Amino acid sequence: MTNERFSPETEQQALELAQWAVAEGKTISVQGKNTKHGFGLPVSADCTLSLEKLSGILEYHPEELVMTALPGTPITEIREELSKHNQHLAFEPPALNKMYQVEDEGTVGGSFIGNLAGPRRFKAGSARDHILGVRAINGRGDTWKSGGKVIKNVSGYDMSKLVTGSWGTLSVITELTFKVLPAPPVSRSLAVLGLSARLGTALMAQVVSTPSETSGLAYLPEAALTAIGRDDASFPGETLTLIRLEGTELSVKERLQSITGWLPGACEYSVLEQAASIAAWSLIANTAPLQDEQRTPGILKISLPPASAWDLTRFIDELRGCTWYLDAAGGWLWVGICQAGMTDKIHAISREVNTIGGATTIYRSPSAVKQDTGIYPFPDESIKRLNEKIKNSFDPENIFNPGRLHVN
Amino acid sequence: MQTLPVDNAALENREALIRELRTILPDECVIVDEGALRVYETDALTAYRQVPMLVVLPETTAQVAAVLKLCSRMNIKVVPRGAGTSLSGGALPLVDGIVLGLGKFNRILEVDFDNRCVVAQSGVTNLAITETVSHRGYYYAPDPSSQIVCTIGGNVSENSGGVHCLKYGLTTNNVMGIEMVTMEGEILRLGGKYLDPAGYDMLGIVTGSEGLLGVITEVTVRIIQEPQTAKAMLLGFPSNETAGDCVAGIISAGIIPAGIEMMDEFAIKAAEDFVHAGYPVNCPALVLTELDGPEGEVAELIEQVRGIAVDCQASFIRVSESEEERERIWAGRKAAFPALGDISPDYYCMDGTIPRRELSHVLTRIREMSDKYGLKVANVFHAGDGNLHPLILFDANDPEELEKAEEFGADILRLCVDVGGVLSGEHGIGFEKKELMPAMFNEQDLEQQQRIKCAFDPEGRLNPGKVFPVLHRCAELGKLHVHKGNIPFPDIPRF
Repeated sequence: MTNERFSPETEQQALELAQWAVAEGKTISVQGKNTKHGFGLPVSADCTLSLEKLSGILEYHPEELVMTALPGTPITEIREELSKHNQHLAFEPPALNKMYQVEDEGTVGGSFIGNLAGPRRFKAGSARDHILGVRAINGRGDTWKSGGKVIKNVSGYDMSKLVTGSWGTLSVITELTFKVLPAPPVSRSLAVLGLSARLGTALMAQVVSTPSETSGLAYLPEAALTAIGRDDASFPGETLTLIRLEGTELSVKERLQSITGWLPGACEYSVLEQAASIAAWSLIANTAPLQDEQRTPGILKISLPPASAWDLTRFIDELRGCTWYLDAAGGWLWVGICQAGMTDKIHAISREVNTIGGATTIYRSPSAVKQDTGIYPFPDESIKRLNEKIKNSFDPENIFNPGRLHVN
Repeated sequence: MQTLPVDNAALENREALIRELRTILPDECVIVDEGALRVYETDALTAYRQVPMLVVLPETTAQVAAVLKLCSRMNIKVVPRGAGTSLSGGALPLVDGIVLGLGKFNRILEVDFDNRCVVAQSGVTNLAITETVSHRGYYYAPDPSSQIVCTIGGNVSENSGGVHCLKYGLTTNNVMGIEMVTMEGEILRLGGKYLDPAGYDMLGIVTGSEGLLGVITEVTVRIIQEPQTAKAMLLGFPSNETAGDCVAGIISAGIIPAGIEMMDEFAIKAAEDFVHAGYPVNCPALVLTELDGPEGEVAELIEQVRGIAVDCQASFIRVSESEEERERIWAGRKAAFPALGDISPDYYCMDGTIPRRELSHVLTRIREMSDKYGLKVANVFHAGDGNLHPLILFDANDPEELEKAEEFGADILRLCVDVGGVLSGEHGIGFEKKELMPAMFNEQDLEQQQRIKCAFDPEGRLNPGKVFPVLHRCAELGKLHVHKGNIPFPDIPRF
């Protein structure tokens, strides 16, 4: 039985596997296409449950803004189907395949189970803001469902949100319903060149405090641009402050004019039209500046109050060997860390983040480092204990993805 | 009005409890007099009333923690309460429990424009947050109709919506952090002035948990910039079907309006008589919509919506030309509830959500039920997200009518679930709809929800008698049921 791999084609088959595991005291590694295995600690389980064959879109009502799909549906299939109706997943789930050195972009289940989000995060939210309902199997061998197939619902606890972002440690999702939204026809970006980190963060703060409805605000210092490669035409300049506007042609044009109207006189900028704009934001969403595994084998995502971003980047610069960039209007600081002294650096950074009031998530690092730091350096014991209680309420025998999140 | 068995030991310990509470709280914060207690006997679902054993009004988080620790030790049930505007009986007291009112938590603690958030104590009203930041062009987006009085802590507990939530999200999409106290008296801080808290989504589970998981004492909310322009449109249609088609057409065209509402003929007439908003009283169905954003974009969208409305046989189209006119158009919708209160002694407001494509079928069935029960019903509808508010008119002084209204309401909600919808879009399950939960959830679904409750409040002392038809003991729920059988998956593909 050990290390055997099962690919159920029905929820019932997945349920039987879970019930067997409960009865026999076995553990299960739960996967989609296994493209995000690099997140969390390595899972050592008695067998593998792949959701790859639980695949397909079950219901899609564009005018209701709702889609229901099986968890193993490729995310590319979801995107294609939505684009036929000029819709999209507004939370812009990134492709993490380069981060984890795999080819495939993975499944829709994987995008939700990791609570992924892209540069639109500060405006449109993350996967947890778009999940509407789930069917799932808990670690007791029971099916359960939560939420519904409509976009407004407060009936019962919002357990769909708990499993979103649980990385398969609470339950096996067998069906998801989520909100879909009209895709903006035009994407255009203002690339402001050469600002220092202080001025770049100040500009982002200024833009976001106007009614210009930007849907992307990022700052890339020189090292981040170098890591992407200077030959990429989307990223001119020594440093880059990138401002994205999306919507109808007229609306984007008006808002762009309004922003360039008040930009400080000395600012040098260029405009990235549709294809270049989309390409640039896709590189940012997919953490392209940190992908080089030789240079930055460690990757952290830090959520922090945007006004503290500049100070934290200076703290990180002093540690040496780190490459960083800011996304989500300064609300996210992505940090790549070199091999030398990685554990100490992660400890130092996460302590600083906890002092400021923010959260650190380790997206990539050698296992030995993760063993030491954990995946989420929690600010205090009470939150850690509560996480353990929640795990226990779904999966008391710890049969799903044991040890992946260092909880239990 | 209590469906739980009365805890006589709690009643016998009342005097001792009062003494202990007075060591934690100033005397005036412990309410013991029958007359004063009566103020708290109901919330906005006034059909249900129960005078609580005691009411406490703590002033600090430390006091809340001390009160909850004491109640845990003395085995006393606790009902948290904000402004008492719940429409589902979420703050209905218990004869053998205390009400913990958060009215004194009324201070805005920090306005942080740099991080685009406000930190407020949980008893601050929803509208007060917007008022505090509006001079800089900011606002807090979720806008339940009761926003003048309802509290931000109550909004979090109920995951409140409002007419703008189609575009700007519910409370759960706009809350960044909370401070809460567990029944055991532990103070927890979940999230803060940042986007993604580490670990499981605790904020997500506490938001909308209806006061069963913890007492919220502080809330951090996101504020956003007001749109440059907002214009309202009033569209009249020859039928509910054509009005529904128009709403679907707008959304299919890729337009997400700031708000999009529908009213049926009865609701239109009542609202127009009440506030004279200029509604076309001869239209069988009315769509109100608001488009916001940069000026040019709004002008473009209005023309697009006008075209869609004409295609759907709109017989009446008006676009607001001024801020005053926009407000008057909305005043009619906002007055729909009180307008019905004006023509009927009482009304009972339902809150199911349906897939919009079922609208015409559902409205027809509601009309049939209205005939069957002999009670009139008016429909107002958050059309964008399918949240239906049928208002059943009745006379509460006639016990038979009250009972009929309740049955009628339950039938409507079962119908919502049958067509693929849900029991509650924004008012919560509370005391009112707990018996209907099995229409939507089976035993295993409910048990999993209750295990969450057990993780926060293992003795079930916080707001019991709400949400769940039966609250199981946590020890019972914790038992592992081993599904016997052979190695049961010869058919599962493996490779």
